[in-house]
Amino acid sequence: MRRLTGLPGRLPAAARWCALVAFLNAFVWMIVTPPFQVPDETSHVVYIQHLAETGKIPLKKGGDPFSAELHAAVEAVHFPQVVGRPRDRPLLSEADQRGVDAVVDDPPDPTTGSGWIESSSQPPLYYVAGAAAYLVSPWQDLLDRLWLMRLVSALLAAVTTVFTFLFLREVLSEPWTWTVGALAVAFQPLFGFMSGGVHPDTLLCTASAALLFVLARGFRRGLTPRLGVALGVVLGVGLFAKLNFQALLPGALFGLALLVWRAGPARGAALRGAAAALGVLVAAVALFASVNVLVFDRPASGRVSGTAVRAAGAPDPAALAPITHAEQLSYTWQLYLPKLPFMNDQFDGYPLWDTFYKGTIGRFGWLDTSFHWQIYSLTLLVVLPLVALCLAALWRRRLVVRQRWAELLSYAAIAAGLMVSIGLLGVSYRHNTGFVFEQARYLLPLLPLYGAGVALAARGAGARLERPLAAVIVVLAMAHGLFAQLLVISRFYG
Amino acid sequence: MSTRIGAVVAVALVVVAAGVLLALSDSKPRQAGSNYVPEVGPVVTVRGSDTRCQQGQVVPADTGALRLLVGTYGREVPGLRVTVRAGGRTITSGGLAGGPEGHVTVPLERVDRRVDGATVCVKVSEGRTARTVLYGSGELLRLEWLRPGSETWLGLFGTVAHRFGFGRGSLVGAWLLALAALVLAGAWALALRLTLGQLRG
Repeated sequence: MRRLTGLPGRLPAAARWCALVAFLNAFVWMIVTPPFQVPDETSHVVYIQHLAETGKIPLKKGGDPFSAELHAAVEAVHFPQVVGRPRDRPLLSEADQRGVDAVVDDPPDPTTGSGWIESSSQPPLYYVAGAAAYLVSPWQDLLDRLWLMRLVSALLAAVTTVFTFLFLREVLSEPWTWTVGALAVAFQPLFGFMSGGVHPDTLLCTASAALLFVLARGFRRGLTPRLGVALGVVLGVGLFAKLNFQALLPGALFGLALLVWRAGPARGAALRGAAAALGVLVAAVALFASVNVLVFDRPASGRVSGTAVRAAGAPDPAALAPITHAEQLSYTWQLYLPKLPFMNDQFDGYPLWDTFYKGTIGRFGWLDTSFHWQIYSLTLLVVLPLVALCLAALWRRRLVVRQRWAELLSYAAIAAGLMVSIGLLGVSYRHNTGFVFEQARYLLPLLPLYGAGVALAARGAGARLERPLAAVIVVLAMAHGLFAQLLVISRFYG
Repeated sequence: MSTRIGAVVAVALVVVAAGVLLALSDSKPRQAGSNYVPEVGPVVTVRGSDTRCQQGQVVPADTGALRLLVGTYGREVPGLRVTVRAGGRTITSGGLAGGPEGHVTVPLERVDRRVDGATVCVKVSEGRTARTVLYGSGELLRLEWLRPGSETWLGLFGTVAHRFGFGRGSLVGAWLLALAALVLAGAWALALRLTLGQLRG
């Protein structure tokens, strides 16, 4: 325990400062974003409130998931009238505020909601933290408690940034690049926006950044039993954070296998490390299954299918037809790459541009708050040269890249696992519901790689210009965040 | 090297400040409020001249115009006259003569204070029997109230700060926007100090 409590003190000072910057930036996002205006925030608040009030997960099929208090709160802040309608503002006058005051001063029953909601299948770790914030709140109404729940996410943003810094310290040689990459992540608008809301993606990002750090450390310094335990803990936390983390597991295990294979004379220690990692992971899986069955009264996997629930209500023949492997492959391919001649069109536009690029530059609220369309094109004037510089830096270090192929392959496998899972989930979701699933935020677990790319871009400018360019990149990252915050302010309060 | 990096940062900050100033100087008509009715489809099709009234409307404070979506099948928008009545008297009125179809802004006499329970009437004056379509959802027209004239974000700062303070539980007030600005300034100062320290070191 002493080792754990002393951990922040053992961090490099720059990592602590980067963490503080990330926290402050997420704090600003927390204030700027109106209640419930982060994607799916209502469903995560449902989970937390139900867990805090009853100790249970909302699972009742056909029941209303919203408590009377949540219903009253979303109505008071005009959430249903504003979500998805960028030309409407939530609250404009004291008369509107009086409706909020009524809910705050005399909150309706917070225990009435119990019905299944999209978040019901998710593991409980983030929600337990949120429920703790909910319960320790000195205020007894939901809108005030929301501040503290969001604060949990802001704190996680700080931890994610620390792991990003530590990851960069393992993979890049120049110390200033660790700070530049971590600050680029700290100010990334989509990351900041999500970290200002109630959302388990924040814990998913923390676990993913920790995973990349532990693997990088293994490739730099060798896999030891202690590092193996750390890897197992990180994988366990990830599994308890969000179901999407399962997509990172194949890549993580692949990386673990490569660590053992490349251990050379230290293979014995590496094998013990791998055994420790797998042992902790198996224990975490067993704990996860036990908690689901014994505590939360749901299947061992935790999954309570939304499709099944929907099918129970209104069967849709189209949703019952199976999805072919060819369709899965075609959909996933076209999500990131141009369509091949033998493939059917899966999308109207280009998801790489429309969803992932534009989303990363900035699309806020429930995807209803975008920059002017020309802004996205203009950003290419900055992004493309930075990508070119990053590639140039890698080319100049091609010998090192070749030497470190196993490490890079592990990161690529993790990224591929995540990207393929987004495709498979997306085709299934569209098949079952008719709606689009993909959002740029699903790639946020790869933030440390984004940080590395940004830092490498600075190095790509060469010895004479790399530091001035790094300074410009940090200012650009800050400005990117600021303009995104101004966009959100103009959309909701302008 | 350290002086050069400091100069680069200073220039970059000046460029960012200029960009922010440019964005905040953008002058446009700004919204005073709306009746939250989406523009889903046609609500009423008027042949020739007619009046459509909508009761129980809220006219927000600082209203100076009403924006409507009007369809005319490619013709010029006919003459539109908007009258807002509440408590037996006319609160405001205004008119528009012609213009292209689509979103049209009808200038109104300024309404300083919010008015509840108003009846909003839109009179279409068309000499021929041509069709004019007004949009909204279900039976309701979308009424989007605009503030008078055009304003920059800098000019609207007080209003934005005022609105920013609503809907946050017990923590209410325009000071919240100032708090956000202060915290962000702190984050920027820390980040710049750290960056300069690292790059010079």
